[in-house]
Amino acid sequence: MKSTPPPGKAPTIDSRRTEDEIVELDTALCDVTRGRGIKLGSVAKLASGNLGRWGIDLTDENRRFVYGRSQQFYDRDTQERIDYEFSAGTDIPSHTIDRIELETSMARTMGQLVNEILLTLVEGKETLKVLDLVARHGHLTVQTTIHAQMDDRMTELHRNVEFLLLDTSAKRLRDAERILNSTQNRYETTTEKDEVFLKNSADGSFDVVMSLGHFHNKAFLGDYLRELKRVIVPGGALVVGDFYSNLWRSPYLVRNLLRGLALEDKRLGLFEEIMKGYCKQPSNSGITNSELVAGDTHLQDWIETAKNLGTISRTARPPLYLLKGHRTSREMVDELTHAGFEIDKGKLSSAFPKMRSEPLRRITSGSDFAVVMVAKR
Amino acid sequence: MTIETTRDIAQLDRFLTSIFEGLPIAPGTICRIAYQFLENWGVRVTDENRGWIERRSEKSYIREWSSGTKETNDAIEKATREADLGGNSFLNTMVATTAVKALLEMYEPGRRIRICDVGTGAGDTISAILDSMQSYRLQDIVKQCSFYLIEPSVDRLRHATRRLEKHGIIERRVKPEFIGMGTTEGRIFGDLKDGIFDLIVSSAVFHHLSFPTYLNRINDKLTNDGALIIGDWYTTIWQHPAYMVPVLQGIGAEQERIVEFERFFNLDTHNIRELDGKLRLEQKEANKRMYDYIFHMVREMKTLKVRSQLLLFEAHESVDDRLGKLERAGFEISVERLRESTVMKSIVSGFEPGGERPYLSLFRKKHDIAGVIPVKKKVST
Repeated sequence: MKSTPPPGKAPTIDSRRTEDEIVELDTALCDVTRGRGIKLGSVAKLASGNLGRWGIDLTDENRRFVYGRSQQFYDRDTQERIDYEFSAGTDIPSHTIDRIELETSMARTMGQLVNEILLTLVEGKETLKVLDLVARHGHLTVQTTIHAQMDDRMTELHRNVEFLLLDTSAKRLRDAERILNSTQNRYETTTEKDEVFLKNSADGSFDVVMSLGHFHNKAFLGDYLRELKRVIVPGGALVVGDFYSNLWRSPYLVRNLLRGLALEDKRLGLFEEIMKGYCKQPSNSGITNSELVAGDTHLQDWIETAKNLGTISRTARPPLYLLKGHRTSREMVDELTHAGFEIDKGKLSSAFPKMRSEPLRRITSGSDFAVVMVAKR
Repeated sequence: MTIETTRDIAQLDRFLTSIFEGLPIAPGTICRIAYQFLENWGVRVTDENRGWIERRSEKSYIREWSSGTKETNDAIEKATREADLGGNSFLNTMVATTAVKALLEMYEPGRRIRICDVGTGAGDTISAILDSMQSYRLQDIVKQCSFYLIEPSVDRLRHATRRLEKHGIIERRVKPEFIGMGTTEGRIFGDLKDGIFDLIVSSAVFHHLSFPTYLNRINDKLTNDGALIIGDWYTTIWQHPAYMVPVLQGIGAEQERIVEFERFFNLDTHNIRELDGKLRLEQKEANKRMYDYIFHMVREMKTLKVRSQLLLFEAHESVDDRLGKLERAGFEISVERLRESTVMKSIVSGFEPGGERPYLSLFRKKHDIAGVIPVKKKVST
């Protein structure tokens, strides 16, 4: 049953506002990809800024429910993947080689940035603390330590640096530990959910927080970023590498993706029926060329992933879910600014004078898909 | 017993294949191992058989690389992680940061810098160099670079070139050159003139080349002030058949096969102890890690849908062996003399204090399994 809009507000076509309506939408969308290895997943996982374009009217009354639902589904996805890794002994093959290469480039770039920032922050300090947020196999921390090996100042610097690797998977952290044990760096690992860990962390616990390929799993970034700001020392830094895309901004674009994934016409028709009124081709006005390229890259990445899945031996692998919290890098910059971080290039250069690198870097020329950025607390 | 004829060597290959019959991995030809170890396996390299052995080795490696898939690459990556080795991306980072140090010394406005990547694959090493250059805001240097990518697989070369042309450091109007070069019958540099390259890099490639002839070619193509930066994996487990016994045991060979193998090569329990007695602690640790890697890789391969074409034997050697080959091919390996060179100035400061080898260990000398060797041409005074 559709609710009536509040007085004074123009009615939206079939907009959903109540908890029941949102659950009903998710249930209906389940049928579109039922039985398939790649599923749509819950609309609650979309970046909160995209919900309106999917007909979800985010209000003060339903916000907590939508937030809780997005958390619940992200946690379940993560647990399914960790369970699969544990039982199958292997990671679920969810990414293309191109994406893995981009992630490696981001890790390398971030390692360099973090070391340069630490060179500024070390003055007058005995120990510097760096949090690798959702560290997975520790790739980012290891790249940071390797960069440091190639420069005398940084090698010296790392004697004062303690890394803390945080992840929900003990197995992944054990992989990280085994490699880090071969280096001379000081580190600890902790198996905990990121929100719980941050809540239990004191103000100013870390000089630098770094995170790779994680924020697109957060539908609501505002409160999360404010918590991160709290746990970073004043003058410290947040270094983020992530994948950015506007592929989820419109059901029309997702329908194109579903078609690319060879979904039958009947199911595509069902999707269009469910998303009636929201499935029109969106305007590209205000969208930059690099954002368009990023959206296209993201779509191609999923199509390639689907092809790769067909060649991998099946061992009751968990499904992959499409709808996620990807946003554009501009939207990310806005979120950081609203959370109280400093993102201005000139001010960052003054605050971290030893940072030789650009504080916002596109990994692929002309594309917003993989971007590394620095924000100052 | 020592053999020389190609017929006998082929017979040895058949024997080794039979030992590994039914096991998750085939050995490949004995010609794949580093040539200096062949004598320990009973094969004498002569002027008559050398060409045949070299070609047999090359064909085997090229066939293996051509049949590589994402599945097998993922299996290798996972095995390196499980063996606490991380993976080639870390080695590439180290090669890249070393290379950028050399480039900074070479740079002059307007000077074209020619960089060659031997064994480009998907372009990972050049990508790592571009990442490092982007980090140091070296767009000006990139514009003056010509990148020569050497790779036997045309598909991979195409992928590498496309990928690198889109790198974030590339500005639309002025791009560096990317020149793809395939290889035919081991002629790595084709018809390129001597003294053309300012910098030659290679990562995780040279342990696939059994004979050091390529080092002479590399030396010819390098300028007198140029630098060669090699990232690679090092171990001595192919040095002697005695080191294969733990491998056979670890991958599930039946006792009878192992006994047959030991009898054939006249092995006894003293062999490994004797061999290990000559190794440093870091080398023994490296061998342990290589065993771990092989066992994990074999385990991963069992899970693959399609039987992998990956083969066991490789041309790994010790760092010292590699340095010896470099010296004989005309490279300067004296740390003291490298310190005097402009292009090596900032690189050599990263060597271990009091160290006698131009070697940068990836794992801070806890084990000798992976690292970077930066050298230059020996210039006669």
